[in-house]
Amino acid sequence: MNAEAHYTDEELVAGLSENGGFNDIVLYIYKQFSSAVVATITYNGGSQEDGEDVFQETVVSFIETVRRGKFRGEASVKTFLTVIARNIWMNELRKRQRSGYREKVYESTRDYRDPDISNYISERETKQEFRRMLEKLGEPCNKILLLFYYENLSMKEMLDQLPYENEQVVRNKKYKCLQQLIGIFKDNPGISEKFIKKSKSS
Amino acid sequence: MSQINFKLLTGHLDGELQPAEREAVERQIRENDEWNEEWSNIQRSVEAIRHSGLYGHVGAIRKQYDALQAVDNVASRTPVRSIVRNLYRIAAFVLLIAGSASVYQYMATNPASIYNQQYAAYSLGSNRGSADASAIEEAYRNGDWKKAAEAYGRWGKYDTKHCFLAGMAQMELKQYKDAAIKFTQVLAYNREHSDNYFRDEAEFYLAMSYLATGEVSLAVPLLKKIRAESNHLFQQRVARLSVVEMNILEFKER
Repeated sequence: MNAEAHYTDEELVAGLSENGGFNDIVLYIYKQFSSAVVATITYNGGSQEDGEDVFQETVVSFIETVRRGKFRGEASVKTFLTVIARNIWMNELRKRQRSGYREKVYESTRDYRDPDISNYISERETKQEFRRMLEKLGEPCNKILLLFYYENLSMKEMLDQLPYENEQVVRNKKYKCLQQLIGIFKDNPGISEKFIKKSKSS
Repeated sequence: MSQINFKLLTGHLDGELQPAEREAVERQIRENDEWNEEWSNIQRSVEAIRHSGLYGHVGAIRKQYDALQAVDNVASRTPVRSIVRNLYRIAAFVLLIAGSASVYQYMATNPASIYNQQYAAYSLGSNRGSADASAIEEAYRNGDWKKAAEAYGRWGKYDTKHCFLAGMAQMELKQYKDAAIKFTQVLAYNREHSDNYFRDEAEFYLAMSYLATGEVSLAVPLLKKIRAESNHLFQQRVARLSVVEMNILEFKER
């Protein structure tokens, strides 16, 4: 990607839907939109790190929304990102019991309202718990499942990155790791309920 | 649920079943509560994995962005640079159309050629080592790249030197994107802790990893930064690369 390259909203959405050029597009989103979002968060009581964390979660939410075909393009990408980020931060403030800041943020989000915006909030909490579940798995299960289900690598390709003797060992290990993860979810019924609600709403 | 049925469900998820098996599994999911619930559990788990993968992926790009910002901060302290850069761009353009030698240079300059010209394996100097060298170091010294990278992966905690060596081992294994993440981690850690340990090495080899993956817009600013720092460990090596070549790389990216 050229440092001065410019993407239209349509190009951004199209690029995030497929893997080619994904890194360049996410980097472009960071270059274009992160400073404004981080500034909004710091203006509303957050630290620089809070702002950067919120923006990372915002970008992840946006990509997932696009990949599910739920980004309708009624608002610009910038507006969409800003609204998600503000709502994530508002929810974080709620958790931190700082209602004064919350009201201020709420006032500034009136320019654009998405009827589904509350979904991002409940989804975010569910996803945070998802990540904690994965962390509980530890290495190498975490890596094996990511290589297969996120990187979409074949068993042969995975073998190059793992300390196992052959593809069958990797296959067995992957199977056991998935079972282990499902066991963790079963031990956390609260997450199950949130997931079921989310599945029904999406 | 029995192991056999669970294997059928995961086989269905992974697209490994024959049409008849697939149809039978789909029917069970529709009609059998136990199958339906387990299928739901599997889908939820895979969604969690994909989300976690995406979160980590965006996190790695966030670190790259942070590293680029640090480069920009250095650049902004030398305002004359942008004028010089523009002049060089013009020079690159003139060279491009001037004659066959320039045309040849233009044709021959690409990320791979610059990578081949600049890259040299990192050798672990004795001053960096310790009496009880770690397994990672030992594997690295022996040129056992896979073992070095795996040892760091198993280690599970951050350490600047070993993170860098694991990244170098991945460079040798041609796992450039994983290597870039390691170098970015070194730079991010140094920045957070106001440290310079392995900073120069990480910057240079991060640029190399970007060249290897054709990410010119990330590689060239780093190379220019290294070239501009007279006390950078890799300044002399990068100085062998002409600014015209770097500009040709950028020009071709447009």
